[in-house]
Formats: sequence, structure tokens, C-alpha cells
Amino acid sequence: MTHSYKLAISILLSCAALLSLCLVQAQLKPTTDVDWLDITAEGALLLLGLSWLVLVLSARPGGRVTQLLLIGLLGYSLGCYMDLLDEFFINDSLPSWFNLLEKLPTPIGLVTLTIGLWLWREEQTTINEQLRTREQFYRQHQLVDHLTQLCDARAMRHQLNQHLRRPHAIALIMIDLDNFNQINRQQGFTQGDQLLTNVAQMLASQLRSQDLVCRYAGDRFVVMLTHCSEAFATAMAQELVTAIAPLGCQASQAISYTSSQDAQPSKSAEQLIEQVNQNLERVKRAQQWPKAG
Amino acid sequence: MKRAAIAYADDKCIDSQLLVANLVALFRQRGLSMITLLAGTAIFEQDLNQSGHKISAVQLNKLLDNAIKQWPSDDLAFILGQQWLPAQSGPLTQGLLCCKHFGQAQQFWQRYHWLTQPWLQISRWQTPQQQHLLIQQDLGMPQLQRFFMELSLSSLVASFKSLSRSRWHGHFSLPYTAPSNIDQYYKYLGDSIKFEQPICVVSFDQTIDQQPFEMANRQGLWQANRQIRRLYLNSDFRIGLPAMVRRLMLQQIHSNQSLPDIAAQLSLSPATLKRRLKAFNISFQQLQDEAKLQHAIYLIAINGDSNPHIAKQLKFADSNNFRRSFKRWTGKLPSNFKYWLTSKI
Repeated sequence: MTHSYKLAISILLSCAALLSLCLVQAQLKPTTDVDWLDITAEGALLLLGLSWLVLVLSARPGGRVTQLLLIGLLGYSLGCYMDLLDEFFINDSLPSWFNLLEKLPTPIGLVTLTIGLWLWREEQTTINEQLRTREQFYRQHQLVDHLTQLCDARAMRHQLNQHLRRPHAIALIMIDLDNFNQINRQQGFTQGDQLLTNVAQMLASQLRSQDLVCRYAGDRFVVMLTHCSEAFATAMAQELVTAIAPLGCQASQAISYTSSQDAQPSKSAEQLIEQVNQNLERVKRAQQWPKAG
Repeated sequence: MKRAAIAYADDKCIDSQLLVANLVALFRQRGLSMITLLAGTAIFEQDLNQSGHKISAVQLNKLLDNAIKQWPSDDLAFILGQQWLPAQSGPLTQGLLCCKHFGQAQQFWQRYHWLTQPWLQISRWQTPQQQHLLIQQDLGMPQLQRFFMELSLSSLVASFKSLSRSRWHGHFSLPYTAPSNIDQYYKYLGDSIKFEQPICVVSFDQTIDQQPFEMANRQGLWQANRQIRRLYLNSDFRIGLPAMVRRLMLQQIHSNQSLPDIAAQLSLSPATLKRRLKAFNISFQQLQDEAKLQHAIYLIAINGDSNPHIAKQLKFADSNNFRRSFKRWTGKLPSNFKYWLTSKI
């Protein structure tokens, strides 16, 4: 934060310095000669450039890509500022350094910005790979659950519908933590939330890169496996449940499976989800409940 | 016994130690803004520390409005519902915990629920194998219908689970279209849910009534019952205006009560009754339709009465008139509801 304050102050100072230099060295236009339309247009460009600067600064973590983007935007904004200044002064009276500062920063800034964007693309490919089991190349940040940072059920529906159009096998695994409400009650909500986050992280890291995990609702998670056999899906479901136990909670699972040669290709995401919910309901009903302690 | 008044929209009759305190604690725990939550509600954080502090229906609805807008996901009602039983303290929880089985707990809850859930009106129907709980809103505004239904139903299921330590078996009919947070319904209420039904009904097998509670304790129940009875009889309010109008109308359903009739029974002028109902965002006509619809469904689905008979009972000119009104209320014909309560589970 202090970093951005310093940046803002130095931008302001250099703007003021440039302005005073011009005032000393050049002659102001009479007000009647000033073209207000030009000033509005160029002022707007400057403001837009500065707003992009603020957005990049607030949205991105530090690093080389961010530096390049910042330098690019600073160059572009400087060009805009000089363009704006020259509207107020008589052209012939402006010193020669002014012309240089007016013409050069914009192209240099835009080139730097482009290099930055190119590197951003590379960086994003790496991040996409890291986030594969969490979003499978479909990003809509409104669908990300705030607590677990997984996508929610709406994102799962979208992905399922995409995959159901293609001729490959899909398995849905539904995982539900047992007696989660009791954990919330006995250990507090902070502990409960922590457990959910841990389970989410564990699930995301256990899956193969073509699979996807989402938070379904509450303490229920849903996993989509693609290109898999039913035996694999069953084994995977069991493995995930076993892996949850060390985190401090038992879990139940159920799967629903559509093979690639399924007789009803018209199965919708909604039906699959309903089916796996029903399977899970059956599993949970058959369960023995631990006695209250 | 104290003579209790009927709660109007701005009567302070809702105990803020329960849902409100719970909501505030949840928001604080998630680090959400208290200022946004309480904006325009005339509730102050320090009020919530006073026991006995009460708020009005208007305040509650404003607060919930703020809360729903600010909550980052669509599961607020369900989370609050999960916490309902553990967050209560006092004789109601004590009594529920001590009941010997679900049937007894239901009766206990139905009798005293208004002290902790004044936004609900509950009635009970019985068919040979099943129990049906009709859930309507009392002090809740119609625009928050979904929230109150989600809250009440999820607290019912969660309480059943924690008291009987077994899975809930039951069916829900809900009076609105499938919402966007349908996944929360599957998670918290199970997979037996029907949307776009005319009224909100929870149906379950009568065998569930015998589901024993683990902490059954006769002495404890007797004590809790005595305490809560005293509390109930000494409370200033025991019913809200919407529920009271519905009740009066159902009691005299055969004589087709009009707005002036009901107003007279409440010692209000018709204009005042209208105004008081408007504060709840509901009209007399709506309540009248609801009462007639409720009774019509009872006659169709439970008594198995014929259309002409029902038309006569509800004071319609003839059975065609009744069919037309019924279609207007539900979008379906009366015959569609003949097996409505028998063909679910």
C-alpha cells in the first residue's frame, strides 16, 4: 500500500514539475484560442490511462509482468499529459524538450505494455494449469464460493453440460461430510469453515488434471471425472473419502456414471445431479448414527 | 392469564436474542459489515446485549433484506436454520430436547412456536398414513417468503436430525418455482421436494411420530412446559394480524366473511384493517383467497368432496364458479388435487 502511495506522490510531483517548467519557459495561449473540445478529449484519455494504472496496481501481485504493465501505462499517461499541456501554450514558444516528451513516451509505453501483456498471457497459461482441477478452463469469478475458493454448483452444471455433448464417459461423485453441523456447534464456526477449506484444498489436489471439483452446497462437494471407467470412479470416490478422514471428519460418498456408449445421450446435467443426490440420500439413510456423547 | 394483543407490523414483539442475535453473530464471524447490516433498521448493536429487547416485524424484514443483499452466497437461510435449535436457549429448547418422541415434540413446538418464530403460522392435517404440516407466514413479509420457508424447513430438518439422531424422511411441497439455489434445497432438505405447489406443506409418515428422542426426560419436559406456559400466558402478543385474519376466516369459512365483518370482530374500522394489513404488504383479498384455497384443498384432498359440494361450502354461486376461481389461484383444476396428499412418499 505504501508502495502505491509513493507512486501516486511521484506522479503528482512530476506532473507539477513539468507544468511549472512550461510556465517558466513558454507563453500561455490567450483563453479565446484554447480549444476546449480538444482539452476535454485529451483530458479524458489521460484519466482513462490513470484509471487503468490504478486497476493494474490494485489487481495484480508484484513481479516482472506487473512492472512492465505499470511502466507501459505510465509512459502512455505521460504522453497524454504532455498532449493536454500543449493545448494551453503557444506552440512556437514551447522549448524543444517538450516536443520530445510529447511524442516519445506514448509509443514506448504502448510497446512496453504489449510486451507485458504477452508475458501476462504466458503467466496466465501457467496459472490455468494450476487451477485446472478447480475450474477446467472456464472462469467466471462470480461463481467462485467465497469460503472454499472452489467454484459452486452453477459452474459444475455448465461444465457438465459441455462434457455431456461430447462422446466420453463422465462420473459424478458427491461427497458429504458426516455430522458437520455438530462440528460447527462443538468447535465453533471458525473451525468448521477451516475444515471446509482444508477439505476443498485436499480434494482439488487429489484429482487428475482433467477432473473438476466444486462446492455443491454447505458441506457437500461434487467431483466430475471425465474419461474414466466406473470401477475407477468407485475407487476414486472411496479414496477421496479415506483422504478426508485425517482432516478430522468422516464423509459419505455416492456416484452416478454415464458411459460413452450410454443408450440415452440426452441425459442432462440436471438429471445426473439429481441422480447422484438420490444415491447419496440412500447411502446416508442406511448409515448408523453415532450416539450423542 | 394476560389478555394478549394482536401484533401489528410495527409492534415490538420479536425477541432479538434469537434470530437477530444469531444473524449478527454470523455476520461478525464472517467479517461482514455491521453498518450495512443494520442500516435503516433502527436496531443498534448494543441493544442486542439487553435481554428482553424486542423488535417489530417491519424492523425484522428490513434487517433480513439487508442481510440477504450482503451475504455473499445464497445459503443464508439454510445456515441460520441449521443453528436454530442450538442457538435457542430457555424452555422451548429444553422442552424439545426432553420430549419422548417426534410426535410429542411437534405438539410442543406447534403450541409455543410463536414465542420464537412469530413469522410462522402452522396448521396440521392428517390422512390415514401421514401427517401434514401447513406452513404459512405470520409476521413475515410476502417478498421474503422464500427466505422464511428455507429458514423454517431447514431448521425443522436439522432439529429432527439432532434430536432423533436419524435421517429425515419427509416430503416438501413449496409454493414457488424452483429457485436458483436449488442445490441448497437438495443438500439441506433432501431429495423429495416439489415446487410450484399451491401451498407449503411438509408431509411425513405417521410412523415418524414414534421416532424416539435420545434425551427423553419426563421430569425435564414437565418443568420446561410449566416455564414456557407461564412465559406464553404472560406475553403481550401471541399471534400476528395476518395469521389472525386467516384464522377468523377459516373458523367461519361457511359464512363468507367480508372485510367489514372481520374488521368488526377485531374492533377495527375496515379502513384501519386495510391499512394495518398494508403494512405487512398483504391485502385482505389475498388472505381471503389463501383461506379459501386452503380449505378447498382440505376438502378435495382429505375429505374427497365433489366440486358442487365444495362450491356450496365456500359460498360460490355454482361449481363452475368454484372451478374458475380455483384455476385462478393454482393454475390447475381441482381434480388434479384429489390424490395430492396421498401420492408423495
